[in-house]
Amino acid sequence: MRKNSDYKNISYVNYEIISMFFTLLACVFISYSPIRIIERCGSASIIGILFISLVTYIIYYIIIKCIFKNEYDMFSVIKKTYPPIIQKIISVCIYLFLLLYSYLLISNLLYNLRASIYSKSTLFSISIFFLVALYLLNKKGFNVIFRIVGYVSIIIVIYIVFLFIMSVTKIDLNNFFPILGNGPKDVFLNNLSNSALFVPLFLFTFFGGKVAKGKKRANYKNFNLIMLIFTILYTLLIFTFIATVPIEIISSRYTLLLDLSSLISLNPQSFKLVPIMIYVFSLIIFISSSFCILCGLYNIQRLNVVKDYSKYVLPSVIIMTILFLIPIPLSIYNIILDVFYILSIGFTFGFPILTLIIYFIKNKGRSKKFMQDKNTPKFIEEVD
Amino acid sequence: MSSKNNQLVHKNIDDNLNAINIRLFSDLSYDVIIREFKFRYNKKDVKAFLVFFEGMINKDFVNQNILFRANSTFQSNDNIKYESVADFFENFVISNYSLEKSQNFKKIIDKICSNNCAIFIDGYDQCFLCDMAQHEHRAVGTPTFESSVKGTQEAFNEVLNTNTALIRKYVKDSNLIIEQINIGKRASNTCTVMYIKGLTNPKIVKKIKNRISNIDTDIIITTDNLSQFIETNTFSIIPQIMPTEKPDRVASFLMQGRCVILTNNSPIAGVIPSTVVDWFHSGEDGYLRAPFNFILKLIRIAAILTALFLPALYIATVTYHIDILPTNIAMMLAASREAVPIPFVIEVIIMEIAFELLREAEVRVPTKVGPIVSIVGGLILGQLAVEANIICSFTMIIVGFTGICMYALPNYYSSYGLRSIRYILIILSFINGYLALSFGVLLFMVILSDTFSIGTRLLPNFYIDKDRNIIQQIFTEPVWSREKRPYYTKASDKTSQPNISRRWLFNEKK
Repeated sequence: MRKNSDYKNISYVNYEIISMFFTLLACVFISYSPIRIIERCGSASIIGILFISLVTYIIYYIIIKCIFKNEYDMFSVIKKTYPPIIQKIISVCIYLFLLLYSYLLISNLLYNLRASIYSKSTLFSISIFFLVALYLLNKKGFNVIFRIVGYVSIIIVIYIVFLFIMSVTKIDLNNFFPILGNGPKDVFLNNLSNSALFVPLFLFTFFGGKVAKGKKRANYKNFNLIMLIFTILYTLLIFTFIATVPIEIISSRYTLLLDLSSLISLNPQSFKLVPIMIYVFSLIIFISSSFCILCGLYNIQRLNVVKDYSKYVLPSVIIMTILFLIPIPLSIYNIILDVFYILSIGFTFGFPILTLIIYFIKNKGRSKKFMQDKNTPKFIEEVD
Repeated sequence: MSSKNNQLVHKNIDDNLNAINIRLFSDLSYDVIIREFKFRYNKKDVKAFLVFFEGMINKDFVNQNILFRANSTFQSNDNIKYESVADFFENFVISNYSLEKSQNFKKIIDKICSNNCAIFIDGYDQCFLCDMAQHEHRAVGTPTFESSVKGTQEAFNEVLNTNTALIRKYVKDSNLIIEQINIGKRASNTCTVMYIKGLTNPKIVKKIKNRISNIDTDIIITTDNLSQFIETNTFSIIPQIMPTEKPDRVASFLMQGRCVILTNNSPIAGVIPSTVVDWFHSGEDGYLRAPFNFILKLIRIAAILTALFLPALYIATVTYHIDILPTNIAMMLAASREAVPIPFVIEVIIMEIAFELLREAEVRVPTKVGPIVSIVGGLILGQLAVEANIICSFTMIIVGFTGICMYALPNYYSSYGLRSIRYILIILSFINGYLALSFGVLLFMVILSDTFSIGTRLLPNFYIDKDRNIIQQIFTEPVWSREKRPYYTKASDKTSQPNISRRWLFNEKK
């Protein structure tokens, strides 16, 4: 039987990696991120999101180009850049960061749900499903996650487009004025801190090389598509928010998507969208959080901290369980979020840029282009 | 036992007769027929005997082609010269197309048990084995669980040779390989693995053959038994080998690059690999025109989704999220529930179990009583339960509608798995509403994507490229545009026809 944790057994197609990263990025729809952007940019939020997307796209395109032109993935870069002990420290830091990211992904949705539907439940009681899903998906490995996400990502797109169509009758164009919102400084400069929402792109550097094998440009094409689809849908969502709810009210809300879903319906007598929202977003959080932890575990395996990550699935889930058992007041939770934003920028942009600079200095003149094996099939057909 | 069976045939006929009597327990088994006879060769009488099981071989054939011809040797065969008595018997007496020789008693006994007649001759240390099979069996009938209005109406019966001949009738291709593997330590049964050389993925064929030839068991009775022995995930609630009873479907599956297993005594063939996409296809899809096919597929998808999720959605909505319902519906629901003493979830589970019982009862009872069971169970009990305020009328509608949707599934066997999943979803939605339901859906998808049907996962890739995606596979295109074989079969030859299969489009004058 195939071993799930074996690096060589991980197989996915271009569509699946696009779906996976789009799903990971789409988790911000339910998080505090849209509110942060709207708070910062006001009525110019659409310009704000387009701007940070463009900046991130340019920076990450360069990062990805630098990595995949020379190496197989980020791990190869780290291995050739740092001494073994530093590699291990870095891998543990990445693992802890991803654990925190996973925790925040789940808790974001749980706080949303507790504030609205499950008001009588404790955070832990509703987190049980997420913890079981974490364990299950991590045990089954990447292949299962990639296979499932191909089906799930479509639902998010349909949901957002549906939300937009349903809100068309409630659009108030006055909400988009003044065009530059809170001013150019807020929209273009201070808003850059919101680029932390692109954390999942850091994980793209872990996997891109495997798809690129056999077809050099597929990797960049995938990245372009991920950014394009995400930017369009996020812009659409922000447009729906601003067009239907006055900005003053948005700033005071926490469960924005939930409120919007309960607000929008064809007529007062028709069904509400809330259950669909819970259904869609819990499904994507199940998958995204599991993928993040799996990436963390995969990272410690690739950087030689452990030999086989599958043994560390249960301890990781236990750590998550402990995190959910600790009652955290909303005020402290918001501080954690702020800290996470700073950490995210560090991990998403700072760390890869720094590593690549050291890599190029260290391997100056020695770097060889990553050999592309043209005979290797793009899609690995598994016979099990 | 094994040492006894490994003994070789003696030259002395009495020793052989004794050995056969011991091995076949002829004093205990009434259907063992041992007939001693003589024939003349080279002016000498030669003793011989034949042995077979009554009812398994063609008696007329034995009488006419062995015993009668043996007697005829007493008239005049002096001019006929052969090297030996065995040679004479083989070439002059027996006139059967299938003739084997064996020295090994184990093989001889196995052959006698498999419809062969064994003939021993005095002074010759080998035994002649003639295949003279003639069973009592069903004729080729109409399908029972894959009945269709359009298309062929033939179904397999219990005789392997008839079934393979039926398949050969559709697939007139010399590349169609039907490999035979015997399984069973005590009672050997013949199993066949069918595939098209140069089309079916050799890795899959190799894997199937390896699994079948490494089964060590006393007996394999049917294809279903065999399927359970070779499937990868035994405890998965979803079947991994798709059963079919129609030779035309088997032919089309073979042409898609799949492998088919078939055992003697079984009217069902197993198709490998199979995926969830096959749940949406019925036997008559290939014969329907594309627009009707498209509508039918939409209906089936809706039926599967409804059958799976409707009861769970109902429970989740009324238990946790009643506020999402429009006010008038919520009021109606409340009014119908006013006098019902039991919770929603118990109501639904009771009714679902009642429905399952009704289904089971209707399968078991004699045909003429079946409709009565349906009327009593479906109408009277349901109606009375609502009137007596035991069950809410909404629940009745939900359960009834779900049941109908479950019957709309073309593949009867896959509905077993879906029914089990439905109960899990109902319980989960009761525990925590839509959140738990979402978890249930994830669980279902994990089961599907982690279950292997030798060669592929049950859940195929959603999209690989424009020719390999699940939408295209579910919604069958017009016959002329089905250029590619299903990607999940991993066939060696991926194209079934050129891009322009209707060349007449270019020949016809406009």
